[in-house]
Amino acid sequence: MPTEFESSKPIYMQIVDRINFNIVQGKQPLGEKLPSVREMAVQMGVNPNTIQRAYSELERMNIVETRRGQGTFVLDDTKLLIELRRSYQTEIINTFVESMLEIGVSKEDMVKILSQHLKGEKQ
Amino acid sequence: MTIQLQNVTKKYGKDFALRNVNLNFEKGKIYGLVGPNGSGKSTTLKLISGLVFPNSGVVSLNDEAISRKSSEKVAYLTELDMFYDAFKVKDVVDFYNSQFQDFNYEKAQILLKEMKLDPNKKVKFLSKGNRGRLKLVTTLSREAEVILLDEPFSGLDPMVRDAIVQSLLQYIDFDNQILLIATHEIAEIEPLLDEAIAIYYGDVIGQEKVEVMREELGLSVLQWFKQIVAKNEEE
Amino acid sequence: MSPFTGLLMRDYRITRNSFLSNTIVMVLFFIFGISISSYFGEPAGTLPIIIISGIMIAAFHPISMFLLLKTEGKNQLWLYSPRPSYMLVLSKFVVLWIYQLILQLLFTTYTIFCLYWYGKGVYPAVPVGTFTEIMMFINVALLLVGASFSCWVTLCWTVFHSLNRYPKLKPFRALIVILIIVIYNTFETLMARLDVVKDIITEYSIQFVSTPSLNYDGGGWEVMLEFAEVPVIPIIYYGFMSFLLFYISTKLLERKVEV
Repeated sequence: MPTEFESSKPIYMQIVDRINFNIVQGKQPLGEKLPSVREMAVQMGVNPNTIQRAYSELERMNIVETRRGQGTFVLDDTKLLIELRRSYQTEIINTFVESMLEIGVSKEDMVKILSQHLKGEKQ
Repeated sequence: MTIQLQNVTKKYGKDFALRNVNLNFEKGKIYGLVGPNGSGKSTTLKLISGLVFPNSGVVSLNDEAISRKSSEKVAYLTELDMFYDAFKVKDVVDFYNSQFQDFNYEKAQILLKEMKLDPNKKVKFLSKGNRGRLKLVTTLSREAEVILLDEPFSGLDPMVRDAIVQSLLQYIDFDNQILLIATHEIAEIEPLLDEAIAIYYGDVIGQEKVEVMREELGLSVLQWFKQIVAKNEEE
Repeated sequence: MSPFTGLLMRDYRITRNSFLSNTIVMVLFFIFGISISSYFGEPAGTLPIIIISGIMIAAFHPISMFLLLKTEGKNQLWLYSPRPSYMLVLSKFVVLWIYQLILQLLFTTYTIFCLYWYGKGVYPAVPVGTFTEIMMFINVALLLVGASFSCWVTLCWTVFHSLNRYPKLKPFRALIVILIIVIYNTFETLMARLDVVKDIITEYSIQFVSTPSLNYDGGGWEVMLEFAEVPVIPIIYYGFMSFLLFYISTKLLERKVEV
């Protein structure tokens, strides 16, 4: 299925995000091959040049490596997973905190609400 | 390999279909010709496929002026319904196969299957969506240097569109082909494009890489197009 | 399949049905001829049928050509082809010729049937050799006449569509085409009146049976055959003209007719 993209952010960056997210979720295991540029292009309904650019960007970010004649592989490095996860955590927390502050919730209340919420969920 | 339009003007009587247009297309890229209906997109494609001739200026493929013979290298999908009713689906494929040397018969068979077209069905009895698919089969089965698609999605429902986009991506030879898509449905093809060219009533009012639009201008192709149209009308 | 065969197949497919109905009409017409002649007990009644169907056959090629071009004119994408335009037109000529030959075969069979069997008593007993000669001549003549009219049809069509490029002339397209025909015919008639031309025309000729007629001899109608002189020079001239028209048409198709 072709994917929907946000209109203002470069498409290749959105693809990078998506792949990273898949890695964190475990849908794209460490050390394994990414779909070929063409396959990925067909899957996402996106220009192959854009996919190529996304892969290069991932390589620059030290998330994947290109093996000559074999394709593009996610690095087999648990540190990578930890780092990616951490960066997603930071991002999600930042948005959460910002939004809470925007609606006037203090930091102390935030902690309280959050722990209550988590306890509630466990019951 | 390149397509060039140099100072090309095409008139229909007093009306300019294209006014002094300069464009360059290179292989390995997907270009989108965007603009409202009747703005000169179709004329541009017809000029490149040798179906119409410029009043002035030169249209060339690899530095050779375009003629009727250029259709050998240019696969063109018309926005019109271009079939003979007496043909069966397989007759259409056979005919294209006989006329164009670069036609890949095996590829056509695969595409027919993928698009769920029955080779023995008469073209006359195909639904509009299936006629659109058949047009695409005849165009994509050619290993031509240039592929021109005129409104490939018009009148097709979103499911068919997605299927078409996917076969497009699957079957074009990116390293060796130039792909030009003319459409007024800009949002639909945006993720496919390397570059967009805005045509507005005979004038080329803008040409930009899609990623540059997003990265530097923060605009989608549609937003970009609206912006330059507005700018153009102010002047 | 070679490109030309491909073109032939296409032209065959898009004309097949109309050809079939043409053939059926013709056969019905033959049957009608025999039936009505039998009804009135006048076997010579088949002669008008032969003559009319001969004329129909001569008209078949150009009329079919016109219809075929009209079909193509709807989207004109037949011009989206790497084949040279003479080949595009030629394939239509050939397909129609083959159809015409089939019609002529029926026509010849019918004539044989009338002459040697059904109308044996009223038709002159032409020796088989002479008859073969006559029929060969008529068949070839029909093919050529049909094609030469088709050349005119093709030229008119291409001129008509070439004028699309000139919006000022566009409303008068049909008028211009008619004007071309009228002017040419006037010119031809005037030329034919000149003594010099007359001399050249009658310079060489071959003798042939060409004008059958009906004759009443009291007891019933009989068919008479007369011999006529067929001038050679005009045939060559018409051949040349047809070729020229064909050539101009293909050039117009290649450079002036737009899609």
